Amino acid sequence: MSSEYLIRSLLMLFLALFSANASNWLYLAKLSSVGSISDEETCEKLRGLIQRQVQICKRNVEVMDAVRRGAQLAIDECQYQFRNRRWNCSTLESVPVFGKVVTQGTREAAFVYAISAASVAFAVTRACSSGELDKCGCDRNVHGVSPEGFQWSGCSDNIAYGVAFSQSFVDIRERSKGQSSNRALMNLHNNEAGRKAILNHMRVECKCHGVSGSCEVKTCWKAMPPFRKVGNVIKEKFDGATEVELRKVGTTKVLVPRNSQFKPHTDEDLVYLDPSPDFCEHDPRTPGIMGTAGRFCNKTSKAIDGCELMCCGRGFHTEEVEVVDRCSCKFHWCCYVKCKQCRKMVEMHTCR
Amino acid sequence: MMLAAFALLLLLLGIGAMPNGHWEHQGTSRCVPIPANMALCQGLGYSSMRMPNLLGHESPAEAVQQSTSWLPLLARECHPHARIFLCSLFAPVCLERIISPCRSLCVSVRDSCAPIMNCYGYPWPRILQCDQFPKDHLMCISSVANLQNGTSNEGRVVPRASCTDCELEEATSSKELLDLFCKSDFVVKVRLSKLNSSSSVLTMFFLGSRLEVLKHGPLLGGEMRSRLTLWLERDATCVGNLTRNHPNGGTFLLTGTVTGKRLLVNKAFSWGKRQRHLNQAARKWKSHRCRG
Repeated sequence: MSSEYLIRSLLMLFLALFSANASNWLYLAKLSSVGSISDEETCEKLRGLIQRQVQICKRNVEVMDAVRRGAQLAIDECQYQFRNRRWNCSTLESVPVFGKVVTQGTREAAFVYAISAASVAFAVTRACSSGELDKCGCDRNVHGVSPEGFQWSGCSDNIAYGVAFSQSFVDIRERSKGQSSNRALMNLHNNEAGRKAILNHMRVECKCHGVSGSCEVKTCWKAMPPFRKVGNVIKEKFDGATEVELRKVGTTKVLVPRNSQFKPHTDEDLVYLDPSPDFCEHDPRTPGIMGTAGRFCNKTSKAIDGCELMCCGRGFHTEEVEVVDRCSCKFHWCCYVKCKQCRKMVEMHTCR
Repeated sequence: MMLAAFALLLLLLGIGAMPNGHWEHQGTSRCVPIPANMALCQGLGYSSMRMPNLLGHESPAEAVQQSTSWLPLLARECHPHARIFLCSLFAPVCLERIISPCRSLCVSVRDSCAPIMNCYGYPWPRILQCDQFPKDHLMCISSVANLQNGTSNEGRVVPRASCTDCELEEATSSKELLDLFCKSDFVVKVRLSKLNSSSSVLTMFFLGSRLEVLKHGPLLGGEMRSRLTLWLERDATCVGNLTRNHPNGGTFLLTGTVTGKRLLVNKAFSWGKRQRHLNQAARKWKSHRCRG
């Protein structure tokens, strides 16, 4: 028994001891040190998965590396989209990785659920196209000649497979609670909205072939948008999210706008149940809300990243720092880039 | 006949460039060595390129396939920096940042080379529209000024646009031949032999071991062979014209011009036993004095 295997076994045992409260698969993003998820035994030891997700993991072991990349993609994109807001998607070293922010029915939770479902669909579809997964591949339904006259060729993204897997893996937790819970309905809706952000922005990419680069022969394939585009779309939905409440219609329960004057939300919109906290102060009783003390802010901005709003009126510190950056870069033939070093003093503002 | 042959060749190259397998999906860019069979982009001063390239080719094999159809155009020497321009797209230099050609370089190459392409019925292609490239700044590949340092400056700066291509000629008199010899930069008698295995190389023929140089012109002793080898690799149209009726090769007298490092065959003659005029001209050339 090698020492590496021993260390790995101890790590697995350690993880297993803390899996009793598993509740959020996004924790997969934290497991980079564990290496590849390559056998069914690993599924049992993963934190953040409920039992039915463990079963899906065992039946689809080869897909789980893509799911883990999806989890990381979701966190990275969330932190990018919220980089200038009071709550900036900071993560914890525990489950759930965003703390209580996502356990309440806030619009921040709505964004997190949407971006997470989208990232799994995205990462799995990409794994299909790259040939990483044997059970899926390119979308074979896309072939022949299109109505516009070009030839379908290449590898069209198999988004249907990625979406189906995301639905089965991510939604399973909400469905296990039964359909009646208002929070479960909210999560299911937002998960689907996240996947729609990919489906509704699929595009056609083409290449010109043939005589000296002319477009006499053109081949095209269907491609997912870049994930940054998906993040932008979901962020727009976040900005225009609809506050909803649970209402009984006949024998079923549905989410309807809390304010009846608002028009009903669509399948692509995000919905939320609870108002958001102001995220101003760090509260030890509410993990995931770090407060804005120490955050950089923009003195000249009146938006959420401005010092007045970011610092919640508490004021800010100003410090002058010297920034050294490359400038006047020039490409020289052949072949290198030479830059100068530019120094400048800039004012940095941080919240009190 | 010449136009049809050229078009047929390009069409075949085009068909050959069709992707035959499933394509690699787009991922992050990476550095790969410039393949040895990418004749378009050899000897430019860098040896690795970025994949995907700036034309969206995902694999080196795809880039090589698409680049071969440009070789006949370059053999026409339409612009001294045509190769640098094309290779900045087909095989972009691999640095931390994407280095694209400047718009001025594209416009200069297009204005010189588009007329040549029009000779064969092809417009300047959409993928090379100059509007897509940045106006000149420090981080793109611009015209002569930037390139002076690296590559040695070529002797003839003004591009020469011409629709003519090399053809196998019939010698009518030794006097006419001697006049041609005087006007040409070089005159050489070569043996072209068919290659047995042509799967991995671009050219179908190779040079025989013996070169009989009647006129060196600007080429020094050893340069003639390397220049002819390069010509064989790159001027597929000309070689095709010469060997159309000699599929297994033969002996030819080649005449043409030398531009910088490039050799261009303009007229050629099949050297056979009954070529009385060729033999006469070769004999008289030893003591011939060109006028002017």
